[in-house]
Amino acid sequence: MSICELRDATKTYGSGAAAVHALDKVSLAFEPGEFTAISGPSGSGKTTLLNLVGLLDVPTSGSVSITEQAAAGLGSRALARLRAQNIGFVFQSFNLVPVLTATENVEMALHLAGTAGDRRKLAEEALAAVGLGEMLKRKPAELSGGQQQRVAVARALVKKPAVVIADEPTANLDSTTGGQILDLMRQMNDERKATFIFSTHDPMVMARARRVIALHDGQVAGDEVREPAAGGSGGA
Amino acid sequence: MFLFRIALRNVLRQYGRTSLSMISIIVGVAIIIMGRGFVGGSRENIVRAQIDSVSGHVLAVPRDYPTSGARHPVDNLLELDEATRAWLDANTEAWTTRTVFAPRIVKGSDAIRGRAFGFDPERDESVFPRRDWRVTGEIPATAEDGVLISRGVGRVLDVEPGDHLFLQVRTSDGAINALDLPVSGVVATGNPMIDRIGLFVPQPLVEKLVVTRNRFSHLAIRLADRDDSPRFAKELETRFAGAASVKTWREETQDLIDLQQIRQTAMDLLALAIMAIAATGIANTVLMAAHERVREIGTLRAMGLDRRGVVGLFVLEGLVMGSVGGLLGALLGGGYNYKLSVDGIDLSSFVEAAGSGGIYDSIPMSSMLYTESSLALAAGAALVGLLVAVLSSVYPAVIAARLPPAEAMRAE
Repeated sequence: MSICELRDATKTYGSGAAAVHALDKVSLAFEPGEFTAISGPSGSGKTTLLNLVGLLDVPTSGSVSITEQAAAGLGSRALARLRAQNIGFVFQSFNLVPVLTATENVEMALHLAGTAGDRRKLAEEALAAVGLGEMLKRKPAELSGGQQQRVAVARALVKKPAVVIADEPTANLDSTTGGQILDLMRQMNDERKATFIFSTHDPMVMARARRVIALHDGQVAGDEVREPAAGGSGGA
Repeated sequence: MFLFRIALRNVLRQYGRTSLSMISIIVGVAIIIMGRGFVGGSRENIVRAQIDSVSGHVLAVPRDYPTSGARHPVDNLLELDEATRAWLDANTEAWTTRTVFAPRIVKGSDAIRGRAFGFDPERDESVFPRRDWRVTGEIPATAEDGVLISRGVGRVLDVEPGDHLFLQVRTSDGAINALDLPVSGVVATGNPMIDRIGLFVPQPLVEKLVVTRNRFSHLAIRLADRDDSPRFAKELETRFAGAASVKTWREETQDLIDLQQIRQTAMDLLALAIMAIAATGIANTVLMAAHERVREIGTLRAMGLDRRGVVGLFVLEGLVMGSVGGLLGALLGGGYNYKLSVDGIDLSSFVEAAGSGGIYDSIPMSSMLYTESSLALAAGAALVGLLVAVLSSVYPAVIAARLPPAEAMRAE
């Protein structure tokens, strides 16, 4: 059972002669527990693909479904609810809310997902799991880039989403810290069977992926499964 | 609750900009309170002065008696029969008669036209309280005591208690009469309409001067409840059988109250202009915040906050500014207004500056103005500030919410 699927997904910006096909009839399926890198040069369509998978954007044609739920025809509220409950995000620039502490940033994800129970405790446990148990009350400005990205990983994983989307998660980090973040993501993939789909053009990052999908000019140029998905069978 | 926490901290994050927006709300709310308090206080001041020194709660004058100006004819006076006197005793808190006339007041080679209040020494104070009076000398009670002149007359003619004046009048029969009278005292009533050219003449002396033959030009009545005035006035008019025109204190002051209403409108317009500035400031603050936080909005949208949530977040920021600004404005404006409602504003200097023949000559008023103050006024003004803040943040909030999340994420 695919956790996320694109069928003939096309995304076109502009119209007529000025139309640009950022994605062109892409069909992909992602299985639970995958640790998938989307690679390709700038302008190949990596971010557009992640935006479609993450339900941040809708395809011009074709379809996207997540946990077997088709996104087509859903209103912005329904899409927001789907995102809140099923998708975690890790961004290149961390994108933490600057006025909230590390704990509150993580807690917010639970709040938006409508998670019941002691959200504060769950947030603190998630931060402890990414090695930030001592920095719960620090605000983003008081954390290093690597620490901020750890908070972002905790925020993405705390609600136990079906899939975590990461758009160049190591691009703004030095290679050592970037490696640590990638190790952390891989650890979460191994231990929690969390599904990761991330974009990169860093060979070091690609080397750690279980599956690598290469994009070129908005089309799939390659799809290589190197290891089976954590806790399950291989990819598409 | 979570959104409120974010909103509160975002407001505090832009401390300078937020402060400027809140100051405009504070000023707007304070002006609403002070303006309404001042105008409301002026209205009550005028009404109180009218009741306490000119009309009482109900005033009867001869039919066709001039309603304004300096003319005070004495050729058509009223009289009371015993039955009406008894009825008045039984149905009023107090009543008195006065004869108002316009004597020529002469001292040596100087002369002015005055406004004389012929009063009943025994009854007058029960209808027209003298709590604000400041008297030098004595208040006359008999014809031999002479007259009590106002501060204005004393100043213009350079007269002090113990001096003598000539009063020249026309009697009720149209003859010219003049008497040399002692000045028993000088009074400042606090009502500029009296204090400029007024003088008080005891009824026995009026009888000699004007030859009223127990008649009078004004019958003033004080009731236990001033709201009973319309009913009472109607009954009194019937008793006079068309000889008198009877008016309530409200009818007597209606023109002045209408004038106050114009002032009220002007004050409200001023407050509206200031609130419009406040609204622009808040809309600008929220819009700037939205522009600066586009990526943050994108992140929140990506994490599942829907459009309504984004609107809610920014409106909450307006709500925080409006609540704090409204509350501070109500505290500052309401506090100062309350102080003025207790201590009063001394208007003597304004009245002096207006000079003789100015507007204060024809408006009954006390020289101390006590503003109108109430919790409802302060709360209402604070609510206006809050509403302005919330409504002015809706537009920028909607703009922020419209941004597609993918586009917002691309913002630098």
